[in-house]
Amino acid sequence: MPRLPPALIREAALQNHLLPLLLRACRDLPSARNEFRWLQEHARDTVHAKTRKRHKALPEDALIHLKSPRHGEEKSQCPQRKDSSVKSKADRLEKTSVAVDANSRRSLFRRRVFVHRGHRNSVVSHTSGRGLRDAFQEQYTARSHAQSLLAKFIARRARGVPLQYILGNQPFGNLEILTRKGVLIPRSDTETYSQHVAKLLLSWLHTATFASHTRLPGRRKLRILDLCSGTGCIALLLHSVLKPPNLDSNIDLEILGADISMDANLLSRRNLQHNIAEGLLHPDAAQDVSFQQMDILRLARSNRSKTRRLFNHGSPSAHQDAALDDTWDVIVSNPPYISPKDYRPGGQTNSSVRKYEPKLALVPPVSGSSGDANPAVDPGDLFYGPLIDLMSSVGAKLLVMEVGDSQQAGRVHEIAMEKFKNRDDDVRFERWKDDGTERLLSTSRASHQGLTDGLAAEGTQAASATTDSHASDRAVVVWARELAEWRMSVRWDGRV
Amino acid sequence: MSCPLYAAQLVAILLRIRVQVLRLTFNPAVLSEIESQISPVLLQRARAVAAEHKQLAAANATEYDVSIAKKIGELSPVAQALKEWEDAQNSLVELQGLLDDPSSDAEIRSLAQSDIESTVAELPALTSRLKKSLVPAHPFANLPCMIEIHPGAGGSEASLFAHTLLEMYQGFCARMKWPTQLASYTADDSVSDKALTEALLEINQPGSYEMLRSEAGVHRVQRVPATEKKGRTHTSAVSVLVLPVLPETGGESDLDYEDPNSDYYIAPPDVRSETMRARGAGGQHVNKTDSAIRLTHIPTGIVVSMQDSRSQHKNREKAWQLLRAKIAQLRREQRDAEITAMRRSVMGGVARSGREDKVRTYNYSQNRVTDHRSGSETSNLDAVLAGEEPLEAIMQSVREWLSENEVKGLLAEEELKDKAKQNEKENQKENGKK
Repeated sequence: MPRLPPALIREAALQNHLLPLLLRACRDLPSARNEFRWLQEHARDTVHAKTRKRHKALPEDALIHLKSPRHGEEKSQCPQRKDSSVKSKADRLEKTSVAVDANSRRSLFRRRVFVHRGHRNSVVSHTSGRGLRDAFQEQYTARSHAQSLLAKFIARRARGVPLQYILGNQPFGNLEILTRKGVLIPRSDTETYSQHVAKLLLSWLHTATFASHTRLPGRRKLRILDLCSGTGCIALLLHSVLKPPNLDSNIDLEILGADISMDANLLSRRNLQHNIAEGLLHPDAAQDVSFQQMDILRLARSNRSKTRRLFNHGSPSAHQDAALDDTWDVIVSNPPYISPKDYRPGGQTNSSVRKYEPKLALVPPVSGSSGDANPAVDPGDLFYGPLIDLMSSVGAKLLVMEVGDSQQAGRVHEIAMEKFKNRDDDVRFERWKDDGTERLLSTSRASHQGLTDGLAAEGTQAASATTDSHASDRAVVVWARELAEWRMSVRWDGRV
Repeated sequence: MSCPLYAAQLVAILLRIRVQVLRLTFNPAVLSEIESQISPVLLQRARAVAAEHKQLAAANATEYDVSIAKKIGELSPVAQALKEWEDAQNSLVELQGLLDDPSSDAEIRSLAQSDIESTVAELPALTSRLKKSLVPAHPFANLPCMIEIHPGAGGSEASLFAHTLLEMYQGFCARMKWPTQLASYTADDSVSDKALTEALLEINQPGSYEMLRSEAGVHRVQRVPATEKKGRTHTSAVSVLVLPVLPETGGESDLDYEDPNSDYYIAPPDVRSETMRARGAGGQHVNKTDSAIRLTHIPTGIVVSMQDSRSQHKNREKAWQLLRAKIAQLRREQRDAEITAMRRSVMGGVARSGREDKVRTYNYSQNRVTDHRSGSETSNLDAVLAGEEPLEAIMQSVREWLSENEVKGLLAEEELKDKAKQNEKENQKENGKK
């Protein structure tokens, strides 16, 4: 990592004495400033949540709310709103009312994203016993608590602890995904393509229901597997888009998340509950989504019927009527894909990721232990072969696999071509970039040599102006059967 | 609103009317002059609108149609204003007849005289209402708005004043009891005091666009900066943009985002979306906390970026909202420019009020605020900067100026149409002769 220029450190120190510490983790001023603000808000929220808890014992009507005299800049208060839905918001605003600490009263940190924040300095006091003085005293201690908490947070962050572990959550689409040590933090790249997958599925469902009812024979249920689910973010995001929380939708969904880690499993279940409680997920998600502890690599080695049985056993609505119902439509996976070489210091992997995030979620197990040691396979690509096998054995029509970079995408493409070499399934391969560019890839090695360039070029062109040569590939996508057909007609104009 | 200034103005206006009235009553010829205060062209247009209103109302009485009812709702202010104006005119004529009638006795004469006075006093208000009712409402009038502030020429002095302006609008909104949200704020790091390089204030109050649209333009500050050693006055500029907050879905309103012919349509391929600093290794290798989104609308070159929220999703939504607002505003401005260009051919110079034009000066040494459009001026700089009544008074004067301008423009347009019609007729005649 290059050294930070002293001028930058000086500039940061001028704004706030804690800011240079954040610069160690963030490497540039704007993001350090953003993180400072988020940590500050979190510190205030934490302290205030504690004081609230203490006051909870008191009866509601015994509390009086005093407003502090307005200061010069404290004029943009929110007006009185009366409906109850806003009331909770007002409560939340009050929560963040602990005043800004003295240091941050410098120019920059006066900024408030939410103008109401910090403006309403309400003092909660108890009429009978404690007086105004106590209330102010309390406010003062709360303030100094928040300040010392912030200093602690920043010290941790400076050591490289991921911001999301300190704050305890990460926004993901519309959702708030809880994070904890031992489970990989959801990445924004994952967010982007997951949302794209959800939108594609939604539009496919629309055309499928309008065109003919025979596409999903026997049922109109969409069954999705999220393999290596981690926090459960992909599974939950798909649910939140396919079945939005505030809309009545007739889509019948079933989503199963599988991960080898017990910690991940517990966390993903908590995330399911948390997001339903927050109203970010449809209440049906409690039935539709489930998470199981499973070893994907071992599962992929078992035969087709056993695999299906295991997955269906894991799903909440255990399907007895197996013959009709035991296939899954979609597999999405963000497997570990960093090779040991890249994981080592000096490799591609960021030191904060190495130090604080679980290796289990990042680096595939050494291939020797998985049984079929194949020297031809790059140790980072260990999961992709089994994932493609699983696609066939559960009868999935769409497989979306996250990859680390464009080279890996190329290798995964090779693996996929190899796997589908002798099958007459109608399959299509695509690569998706971070910036939304999609490319259609050749389906067989024979045509690979001559065709790749032409097709790739055409593909990029069709993907309009969103090309950024710096973006790397983020996902390899396999379409099969009727979904491949649909995809070819709507996206690639029936090109072969 | 019971400010002494207002009372004084009111008295002055009343006195002027009184004087006019006194002169009028002795000179019936002036009556027609009053009448001609509204141009025949506008009157003609108003009558046409009223006729249409009547016809539609009759049609709707037999067969109800929502869209027709809506149209009637739009036309009815004109019809109403015209009716009141015509009533006043008719009663004037009648009263004048009474006065002129030699058979009227003294008592009737004096009654008629006083009635004439009161009617004439009402007339200017009725006329201006009729004129204003003819001006179509601004399409964004009912929407909430966003104020975007950028310092212009003047370096740190401009960014300092930009912050002062932001506080002024925050103060104004607080006084109006409008909920506001500072959606984006970038501090100017080169200045130790409160200063900004960019700020976006969201005002979640329907109709605030109409109130605040008078604020768009370049605000100029003249003062001796704190850093100035020789005591020279500097002039700096801050540009203020007022953007409409368009509703999220076009469903309930007339705004249709999906229709390519709509003003609010943005073709998705025209927009390049970038997550900033997307270079280098990504995915599991790094853990970015940066959630900034930048959208570029390629045809117009408009760029918006949002980074304040931790959620990329929220930043993207915000960025889209801002982009949509900016494009809608731009298209609206283009239309306005076309109309202005057309009017200019008839009216000669039309005062411009585009985004690049200087609209107001805040002079600290003279403690004075001057609006260059309405010409209104106040010597209560502090109160203006705090967003109190004097600011509202200035804004009110600008709104009046704007609507007067609109009336003038409308008149010019109607005259133009009239001329075109006459030309056509003459052409037809000539053709007929041949």
